[in-house]
Order: sequence, then C-alpha cells, then structure tokens
Amino acid sequence: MKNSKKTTKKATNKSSDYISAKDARRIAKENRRITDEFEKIKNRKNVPESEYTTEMKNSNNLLEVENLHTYFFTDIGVVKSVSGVTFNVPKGKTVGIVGESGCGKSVTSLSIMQLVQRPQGQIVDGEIRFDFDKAIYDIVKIPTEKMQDIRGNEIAMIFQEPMTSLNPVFRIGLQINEVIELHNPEMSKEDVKSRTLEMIKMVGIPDVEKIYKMYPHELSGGMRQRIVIAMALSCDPKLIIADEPTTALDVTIQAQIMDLLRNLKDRINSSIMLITHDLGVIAEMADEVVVMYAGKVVEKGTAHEIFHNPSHPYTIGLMASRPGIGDKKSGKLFSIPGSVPNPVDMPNYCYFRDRCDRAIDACNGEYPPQIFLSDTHMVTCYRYLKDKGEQND
Amino acid sequence: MRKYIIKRIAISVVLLFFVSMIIYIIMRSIPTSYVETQARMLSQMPGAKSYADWLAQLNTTYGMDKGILEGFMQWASNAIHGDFGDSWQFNVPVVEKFQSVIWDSFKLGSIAFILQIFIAIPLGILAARKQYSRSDYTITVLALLGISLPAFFFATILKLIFSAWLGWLPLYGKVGRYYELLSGFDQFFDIAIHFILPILTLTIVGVGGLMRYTRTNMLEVLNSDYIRTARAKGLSEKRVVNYHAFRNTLIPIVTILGGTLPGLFAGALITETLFQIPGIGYTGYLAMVSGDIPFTMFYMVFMAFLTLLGTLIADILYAVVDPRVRVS
Repeated sequence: MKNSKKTTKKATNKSSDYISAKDARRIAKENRRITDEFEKIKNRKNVPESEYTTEMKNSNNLLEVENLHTYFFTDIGVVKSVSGVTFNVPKGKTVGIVGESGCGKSVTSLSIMQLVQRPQGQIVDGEIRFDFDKAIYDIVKIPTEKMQDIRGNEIAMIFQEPMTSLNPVFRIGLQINEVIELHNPEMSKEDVKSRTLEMIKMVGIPDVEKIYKMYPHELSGGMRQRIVIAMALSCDPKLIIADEPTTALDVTIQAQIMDLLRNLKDRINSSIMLITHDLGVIAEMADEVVVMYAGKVVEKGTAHEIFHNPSHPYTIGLMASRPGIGDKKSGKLFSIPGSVPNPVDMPNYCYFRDRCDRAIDACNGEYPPQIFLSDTHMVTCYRYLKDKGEQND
Repeated sequence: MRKYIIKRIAISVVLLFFVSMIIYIIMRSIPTSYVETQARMLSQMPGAKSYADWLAQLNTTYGMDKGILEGFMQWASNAIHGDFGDSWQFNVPVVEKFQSVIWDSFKLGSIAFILQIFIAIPLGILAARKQYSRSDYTITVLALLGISLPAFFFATILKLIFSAWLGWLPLYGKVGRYYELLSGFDQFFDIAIHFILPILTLTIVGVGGLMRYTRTNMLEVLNSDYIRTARAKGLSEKRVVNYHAFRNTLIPIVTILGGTLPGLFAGALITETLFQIPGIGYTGYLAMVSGDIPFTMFYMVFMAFLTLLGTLIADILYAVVDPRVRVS
C-alpha cells in the first residue's frame, strides 16, 4: 500500500511540467553559474589565434562538425537541443539535413554561424572546423569579432521565414549594399550598387532598379526569399546554410528557388547545407543526407544509400510518411506514432525506442553505438549490431 | 499624403467643435457656479440687494441667462473671431492671463520631457540588451519606483535632501528674495536654480513608463527574425542594435511621444503647487474650482486642440519611420 502510493507520486512528479519555487530558484542559480562561465570565456579580449586554429581530419571537407553539443539553459532545466552531432560537408557538395521539427536541425546551423541565442543557449562541447584556405579555425572557440568577418562572407545563411527575415524599415538596396560594403570595404559606392543590382538580377527578379528602391513589404513572399538568397550569396560564400528555404513558399516557387540554388552552387562552386523536412527536396538536391532525431544523428550516408536502403527505423518511418502520387493503397498518410521524448529529461536508452515498431531486447540497453553499414553509411540502431566484433566506432 | 493630411485636419475641426461643446455643457452643469458664489458674497455685504436680485443681475452681466446651447453658440462664434473673453476669476483677458502663466509650465514640461527621452530610451535599450542581468533588474526596479510613487512623495524627498539637509537649492518659489536687484544673467541663474527640483521631480515621475515601454519594444525587436538576419550578415553588435533594432523600436516610441505634446502645455498641477510655481496647471485648477467658464473653456479647448495636433503629428511621424504605413 505504502509502496504503491510512493510510486504514483513519483510518476506524477515526473510527468507534470510543474516545478516548485525552490527547484526553479535552484535551476536559475545553476544556469546563471554555468552560462556566466561560458560568457566569461566568450567575452575575453585579444584571444590568441593559436587557440582557435585547428586541423582538418580530411582535406576534402569544407566543414567538419564533431561531437557538437548545444544546450539551452532554461528555467525548467537544461534542454539538450543538439547532443553529439557529427557530420562533414565536403567541398562543392550539398548535404541535406532532415528530421522533424525540434530535432535540432536549426540549432546545429545556428551553432555553425555562432548565432545561438546567448546567454541561455551555449555550445558546451564539440568542434566545428572550417577551412578558410589560409587557416583552419574552430568556430566554437573563435572570438565574436572574428566571427563577424566570417558571417555573411565565408558562411552565409538563408533563413526559413522570408516574410520576417528582412528589416521592414530599410529599402532592399540598402540591405544588400550593407553586407557587400561590410565585407568589401575597398569597393566604391557605385561598384557596391552595381554588384547589388547584379545579385538581384541573378536570383531572377526583373526590373532590378525598381526593386532596389522598394521596401520589403512591397514584395511577395517568393520575391523576398529571392532577396534573402541574393543577400546571402552576394559575397560568394564558401558555405551556404539554407534553413528550410522553401517551407514558407508554394510548390511552384519552391521548384524555382531550388533550381536557383543549384545553378548558383555550380556557378560559385560552394557547398550547401540544406536543412529541410521535405524529403523530395533532399532527393533532388543532396549528395549526402544526415537524418537527425532528438538532437542526435541517427543515420547518415549518401543520398543513394538513404533513399534506397533506409536503415534506421526512424528513417524508414520518415520515408513511409511521404505522400506518393497515385498511391491508392489507403487514403491515409502514414505517421510515426508517439512523440519525441521531453528534451529536458532525455532517457538513457535509444531515444526512438518508445516509438519504434521494431524494437528488440538490446534496445533496453544504453544509447546505441554508431554502426557502419558501408564506408559512408552510418546508423545508430541495435538491429544492425550483428556481433560485437563488427562494431566500428 | 497631402490629401490625407487635409482630410485629417478637416476631421479635427469637426471633432474640436464637438469637444468644446461637451466641455461647455459640463462647465455649465457642474455645481460650482461663479455667479452664485459672487451673488452670495455681494448679498451679504451691509445694505446690499437680496441674493435673488444680485443673481439675476449677475446672470445678465455674465451672459448666463441664456440656455446652455445658446450660450455655447455665443462662445463659439466669439472664439472663431479670436475673442475668448475676459477671465471672471482673474479680471483680465483670458489670453493675456494664459500667456503670463503658460511659459513657466512649458519650460518645466519641455525640459523634463527632453531629459526623460535622453534618460529613458538609452536605459531601456541597455536593459533590453542585457535582459535578466543585474543592470536590467536595477533599471526595472527604479522604473517601477518612478511609476508607482507619486510626484508629491518625490518632491518632498528631494526638498528634504537638497533644501533642508544640504541647503543647496531653494525650497520653493520661482525666484529668490533679491531677484529684482540682480543683473540679467544672475536673474536667469536665479530662476534656473529654482527650477531644478520641479524638473527633477517631473523627470523621475515620467521616466519610468517610457523606459519600460522602450525596454519591452526593444526586446520584441531584438528577438525578431530580421535582427538575426542582420547578425548573420556579419554586422557588429553595435550596428545591429543602434541601427537595425533602434529604427524599429522608434516606431512605437514615436507614437507615444506625439501623444505627449499636450502634456508640455498642460502643466503639472501637483508639482507646481508643491513648489509654488504659478504655472498653467495651478492657474487652470484655480479657474476650474471657482467656475471661471471663459478661462476654463479656453484652457480645455486649447488642450483638445493640442491633443488633436499631437495625434496628427504622431501619425505623420509614424509614416516617416515606418514605410509600411505610408499612404500613397
């Protein structure tokens, strides 16, 4: 009797979002202590270059993200948005990152830009190595002033909300000029303007002079997204991070934007990191695919491998939930049952176990290790662990 | 834009007419009657006419024998010709009395207003940039104190510290005892020193609201997508805040600043009374409690006019700072 009462109390405590005032104070104090420490390191002046210079593991890669951990220290506890993400972006290739909402795709990309909302959001561990030709820097450790030279110049980002990504009170021309001027201080005013006009023309907008003088609210969503793309590409970045560039747009515009990105990539030979939950877009664009679930990479490989041999149950579920044209088997769209575990209180077994329809006994153990099905195809699932000898870390 | 402004002015004229009508009706309907008070006083003099006789005579003299609507029409037609009549309470033309008291209030109000802007906006931005930091909490608590505690409290505290304890500044009044004997610049200095405490009081009372408003708006702007875009461009934090974010924060601030225009002329009744400065707030109060219809009418209608002008200016400024609302 006594025992059962105890367990129910514990269960309700765990399931409800309620935290006592005492706990809240403790969490806030703890958070402040941790974030202050990170901020102190971040706010140092004159950081020596040797501290953030590093080496690439593979010289063909433009970007190497290794064991990235980005946490948010919130009032209800630490949200582990990204915990141990590892992937590479090779030079001149497109890497697609897929996963459902809240799985850490955007936070990964913001970490690469050092744009995670501080002080609550912090990169607590890991390395982000980027090849700047002259040197290789670790973006996690790079000081903010140095990062400002990189943002928009070497790494550019296309955001997912074209309607709100442009500043409503400045003219289009000014907003694009600004980024060109900033990273090319030697250019004259006329050169900057002609470059801006060229960029607007490049993204397929006619009547450039007129657009140059317009305000964002005078343009449609598709036009605005093109402007955002023009802005991102205006300094010929080595890496373009496109964070759901087509989510807010209708299908015809989507196709146009994707064509545009592909053409541009060929023209300036940069790499693209394409974040989306649209598998169709991934199939069309990506050379390599990274599948993320609850802040971790569950499967990665070449596009061919992921689409023809999806191995992780989550990837399989994702593939099955695509709407197919002429799919008459059933009227309903497949969906993966259940929901993502609470990010504040992650379990210590496979995060997908409770939703998995193929779970085996081994799944009750700790989080599964990385298992390589081929040189490029990695999956974290016990079902592929044939015997211990084959395990490849 | 010109067409829009002309339309707004035309609407304002109609509004002003009805506002003054309502004020007149209220003034005529309130229990305080200047004529009745005068009649009672005169009838109590030795050998005077009866109260009823005096009342009838005074009613005719002051034009109160007509109906309310008729009286208003009479007032309005005079006012259109620029004749606002003589003040009953002060026995001088309304405009003359007004001019003699408005400038002190205007000086107090406008200096306090400028100080408020220059203190509140930078502090609000600082608090928003460092949300939940120690400086943010300090600023927010001070703002809360400024909003919650009344003017007479601060005035008394300031008087206690700076006049009673330190003896640096005069306790009250507009000029010192030897004002007439001073030369030009010293006279100015004498007034200035008397104005410090009232201005300080007005500033402290007004700064909190504006600061909190700035902080809230700045926070909203700083969390918006276009600020992230600006950061992603590689702009320095200074430029992001002072240029991209500030221009957007300005939009709501400009609207409330436009609305404070009548406040500059309204005077501050409590502060002026506490420091015994004969400004419009105090004079307007005297006129109102004695039932001085011409002066109160002029004062209130002038306020209504400024309020309408203030909203018009705010709307025009709104279009200046926010391209989305420009009327083509």
